[in-house]
Amino acid sequence: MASIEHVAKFRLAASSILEVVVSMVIIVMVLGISLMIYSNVVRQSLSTRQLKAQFLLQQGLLKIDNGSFEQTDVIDQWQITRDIIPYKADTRLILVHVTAYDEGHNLIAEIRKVMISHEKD
Amino acid sequence: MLKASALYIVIVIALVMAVICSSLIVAAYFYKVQYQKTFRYNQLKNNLESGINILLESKNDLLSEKKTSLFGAENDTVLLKRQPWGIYTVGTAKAFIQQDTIAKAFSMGSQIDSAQWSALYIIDEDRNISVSGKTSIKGTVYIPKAGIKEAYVNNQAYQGDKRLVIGDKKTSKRTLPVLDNKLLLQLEQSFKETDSHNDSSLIRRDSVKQSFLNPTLTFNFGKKEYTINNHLEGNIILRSDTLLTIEATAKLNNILIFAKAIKVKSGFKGNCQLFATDSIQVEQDCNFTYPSVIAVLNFEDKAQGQRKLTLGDYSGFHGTIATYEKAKNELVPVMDLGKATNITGQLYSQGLLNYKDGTVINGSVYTSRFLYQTAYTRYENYLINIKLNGPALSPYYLPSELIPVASKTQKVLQWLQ
Repeated sequence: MASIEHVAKFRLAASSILEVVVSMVIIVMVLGISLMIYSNVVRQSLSTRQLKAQFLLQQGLLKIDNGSFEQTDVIDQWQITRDIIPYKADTRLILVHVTAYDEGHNLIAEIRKVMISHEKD
Repeated sequence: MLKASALYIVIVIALVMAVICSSLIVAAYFYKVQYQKTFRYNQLKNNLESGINILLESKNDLLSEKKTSLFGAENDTVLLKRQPWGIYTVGTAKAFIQQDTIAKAFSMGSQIDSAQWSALYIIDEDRNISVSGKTSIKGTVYIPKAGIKEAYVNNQAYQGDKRLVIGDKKTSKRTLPVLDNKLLLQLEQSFKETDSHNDSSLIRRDSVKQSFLNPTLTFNFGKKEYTINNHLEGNIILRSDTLLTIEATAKLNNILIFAKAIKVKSGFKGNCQLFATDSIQVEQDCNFTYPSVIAVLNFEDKAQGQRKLTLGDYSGFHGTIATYEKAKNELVPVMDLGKATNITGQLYSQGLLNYKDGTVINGSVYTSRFLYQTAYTRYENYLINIKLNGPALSPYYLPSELIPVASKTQKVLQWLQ
């Protein structure tokens, strides 16, 4: 008896059913919005793939500058393609177009640059 | 009594989550902006380098900025300019995407045509060359058919290498290889240019610095003698119809000077291109850094008097020294090198090359005749206590198109901006 009396002294007031429903709605909305924002941020923020592609493209240009004219390189299952065409008649200028494709042959990044061919030196 | 307050707790949790979400958005935005900046900078850099390559391969000057779309796409526009700067050429390239712009200014030099390069070229006047004292000749030489011989001069025999020439010996022609006509015409035009206004404001300014990305700043002193003791740097041209004196305290960097006569005071140090029609006198202990130019160029059809270029004792020079006369005058132009002068680069003397003991030339010498004078005697085509060393020139040295050994391939000589 004494213990029942003791418990009765410290009664916890319960929330009403309306309060609980509103809280649940709010928490579901907030969680939903948070997940949406998170997925958007993850989707739109820095892509390591793009960064890697940019780096590989710059490396590809550097190789051409050093006199290597291999058309295709495969790095980590990525394909780096280099197209070289004359830029202007009667000059050594060439237009270099370097592209990076992923495993599924999707274009990730590309770069164009006018360079001086070392072939006619 | 403790309240359940579910709504209150949920609102607090929602606020915390909102703060976390907004910080995530801000961080993502910041990184995205940084990435876009880097990407745009790389794109601009590629476009700029493309523009520089186009300028290096261009054969014609672009005196005003030309807008060019590199690949016929968006965000690939560059502004290119190519203008003569003394015996060299200056190129400026600007790449821009909307408000972002990057630019470079540089001077260009030609690569050396190794097939034509020689440490010494002396014209064939049907007499031999003589060597005496501590003379040393390294590199390919073009000498008269009569060859090269040892001689005993001033009580001293030849003390150098027994081969006399450490390098190939080839036969020279009766005339010197000619200077580039297009550049000579350009330089002649530079002397005649009158579009610059008379400006004496330089006198009141201690320092004038002009970027090569901006229009050229020209000061014309007319017939008034002027002494330069200012700090002048960059895209600046000085003109004078009379004597122009450069004080030892003057600081000159990459500027051009066209005058009738130029005098450089003892102790001067700097980098400039000096062109005179009558004479240039460089006093002793001066030092010119690469790529400097000293040239006495006479374009008159009937030359009067003797043109003279003097480099004082113990002076150092890195670049190109030349004397040229359009008309054939009995008094040929004289290039006078003082005692122990040290020249790294190219020397083109259309007339006489008068030198003294201890002269060192690391590079190449083109001359019609050598002259060595003592108190009593005058020796022609004697090489006495002089060092000519062709291979000592840096492989990165780029000559101007003016001198005959330049190939058509151009490279960046100096980044000016």
